Amino acid sequence: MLDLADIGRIAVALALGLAVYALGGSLVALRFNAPQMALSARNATGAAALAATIAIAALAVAFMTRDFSIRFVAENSSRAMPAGLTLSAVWGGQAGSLLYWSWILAILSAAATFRVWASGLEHRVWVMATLMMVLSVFLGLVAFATSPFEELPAALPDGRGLNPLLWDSGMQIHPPLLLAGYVSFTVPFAFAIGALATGRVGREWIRAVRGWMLLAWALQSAGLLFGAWWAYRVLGWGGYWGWDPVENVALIPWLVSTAYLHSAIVQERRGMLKLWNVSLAIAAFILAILGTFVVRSGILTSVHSFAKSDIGPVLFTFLGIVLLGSIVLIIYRLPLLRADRQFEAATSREAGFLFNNLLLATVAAATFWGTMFPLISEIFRGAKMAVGAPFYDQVNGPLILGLVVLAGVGPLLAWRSGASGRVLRRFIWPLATAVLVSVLLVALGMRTGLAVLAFSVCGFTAASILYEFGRAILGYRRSRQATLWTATRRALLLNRRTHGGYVVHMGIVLIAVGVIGSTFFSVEKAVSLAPGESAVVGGYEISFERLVFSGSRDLETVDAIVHTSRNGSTESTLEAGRRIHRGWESQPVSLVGIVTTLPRLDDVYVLLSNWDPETGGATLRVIVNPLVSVIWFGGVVYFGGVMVVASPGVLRRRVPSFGPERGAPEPAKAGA
Amino acid sequence: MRSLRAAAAVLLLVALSAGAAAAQDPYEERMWEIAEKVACPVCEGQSVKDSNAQLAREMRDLIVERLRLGDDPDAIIDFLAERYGEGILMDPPKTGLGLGVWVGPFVFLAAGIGIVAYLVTRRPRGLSPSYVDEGTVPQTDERGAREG
Repeated sequence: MLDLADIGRIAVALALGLAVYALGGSLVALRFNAPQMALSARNATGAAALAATIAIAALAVAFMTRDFSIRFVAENSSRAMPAGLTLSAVWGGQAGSLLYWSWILAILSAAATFRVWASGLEHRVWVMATLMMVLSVFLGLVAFATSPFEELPAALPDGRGLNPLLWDSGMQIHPPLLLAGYVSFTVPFAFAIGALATGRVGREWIRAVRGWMLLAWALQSAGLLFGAWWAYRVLGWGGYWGWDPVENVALIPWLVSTAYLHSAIVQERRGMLKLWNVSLAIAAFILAILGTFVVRSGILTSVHSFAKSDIGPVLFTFLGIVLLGSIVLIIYRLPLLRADRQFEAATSREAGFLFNNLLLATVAAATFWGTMFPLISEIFRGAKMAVGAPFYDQVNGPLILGLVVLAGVGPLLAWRSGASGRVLRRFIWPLATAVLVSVLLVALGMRTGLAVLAFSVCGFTAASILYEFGRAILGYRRSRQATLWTATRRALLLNRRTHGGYVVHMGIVLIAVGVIGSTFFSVEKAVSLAPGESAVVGGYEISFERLVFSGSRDLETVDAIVHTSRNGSTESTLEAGRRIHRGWESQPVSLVGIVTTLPRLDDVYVLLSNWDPETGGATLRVIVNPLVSVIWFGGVVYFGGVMVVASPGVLRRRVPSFGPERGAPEPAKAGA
Repeated sequence: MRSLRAAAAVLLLVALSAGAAAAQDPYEERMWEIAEKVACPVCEGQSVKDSNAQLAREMRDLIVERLRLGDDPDAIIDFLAERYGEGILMDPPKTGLGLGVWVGPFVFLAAGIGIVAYLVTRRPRGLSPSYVDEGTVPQTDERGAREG
């Protein structure tokens, strides 16, 4: 009789077999020009996706039915865990997250293969072969190195459960999003390899890959933002981003893909940066794999633990081969990767994109360097050297501010030609806004020069974006005699790539405002209070009412009831507590008390550090974090922009997918 | 309730000293500044300021204690580095091998600026015809959006 572990193992083996078949079939089809073989391989990618789905379903069912004869289930879940949380334990450990990773890759590979097939693109078999190569490696790891279907000699009565820090709804959203983001970079990589292998490195692969890169980038963005939100609301250390290795390696592929999304525009329109774009697509993939696994395998904790990891050496070898192979391919195709034309002015739009890429690449490189440095110092000195937040703040902070400036400058520049009087006039309003912001802030009493500068930069860029929108709307209105509302809607939707991008930029500006506010003006204090006592932190009166104890068989909680007010204004009540889970006594989980005040937009963030059950006294860590809520609002705006950029064209003109590049420009017809 | 009491008893010991220290505001404010520059040795990438670990709390108390004895911040950081190893410095030292981490990004940026400057300033070899000019911008964008 087959149990779930058997079904899972068989499904994984089947998926692996199909992936290897599809890989072999693709190569045979390429070598002997056999279209029937290619077609069979294409169908196998679909079957592999189906088999991988069965495997992950088997694991999910094992978790839901509490099958503690499977080691992975017993180690990562317990009967005390609610259903939704139990399901998220699928990616709660290495073996499960590797299966989840492979499953997403199998689905994406099949989708990408069938889609590129329909487009009739010449390099489709190469795309399929590359995808299947990567899928085979990861399914091979699931099958042979770290299987989630390993069985225990006897079923346990109950599992150990998931670390209580992960007992949060954020756990159901953040890791699967981030993992899916990492995986998605495989598809652009496959297209890049396809383009290099066939030598068709022009616009068609850039166009075909755009949606896939956008998907990977959006998933990675969502994973990062949810991660920050989760860290802030749940992990309880007062911040949302700490530049720790796990965060850094997630940020790097985002930076690289952001660079790609900008530089691809230059290739699409001007036929330049071909070498750079291919390299970015490949680099995003390699860095994403490095991010997912090298960090998890413990290499950054110590070089020595790396050797003990089952999958570390295999992945390292795989990455080495990918890197070397890609470099060889690029060198082989170097003559084809030359730009069709050259930059004509240092202040043109395309040069602006180049500067944007320079800054993004430098942030990525600095982050990579800082993350890997402890390892380098361990090799050379035998002792690890920590690289913490101060390094990243000092190095990346100015670079990121430079990027915000460019988001304001870029849209005002003209393609091809340098800054003429006409272009320079567009800078008047944004610059005036920047000056106004700085004067206002200083008048209001802000004396931190760097913060004033940073806020002014945000003002400049926000004004520039609004100015560009205004120009588009007024331009449309004048030419069509439309109402303001129609003109606004049409302007946004007609040019949704550009204007959606500006909305994303606006989201970034808002996030920057929140980061600047909370970085420069956060106030922190620990206060020991008896019931009924109060203290003042950052202008807020924090009064501690009492402690409330409660408990059940699996969980004990203590909560401090705290009231906050400012200048005797309306009072808010919040609870800051600790939860102690049975079996995890050494790791009490914080229950953060947060209240966002209006109209100042300060977050009053309260943590319960210590308490005394005898006297009922408590030590509270109180942090007043200005403007953090603006970060989350900026995140919403950001994704609003992503929706506009990615939405299928409602007002789209009918054009052939790879039609003539120099088609006569016709005004778009409404509703066509 | 037993485990809660046990945890509370442990925490109480800390609270007694931390509580006393917390009342001393001038020391505490300076303590947070120092704690931000020191990594908690048992946590992954968190500073003593941000960590809730037992050891981090003890180190915070230790910093307050040294401050009260009249040590200046640099001396305290040196003292901690000697006791827990140089690895706990959040800011790598700007000397020796530690300098490498600071120099790396600037070398990268300088090389990048060089390449970009070369690309945008080199003379075009004759003006090549451009197939896209400003007038066709929206159409190009719309065509691209189909892929999205």
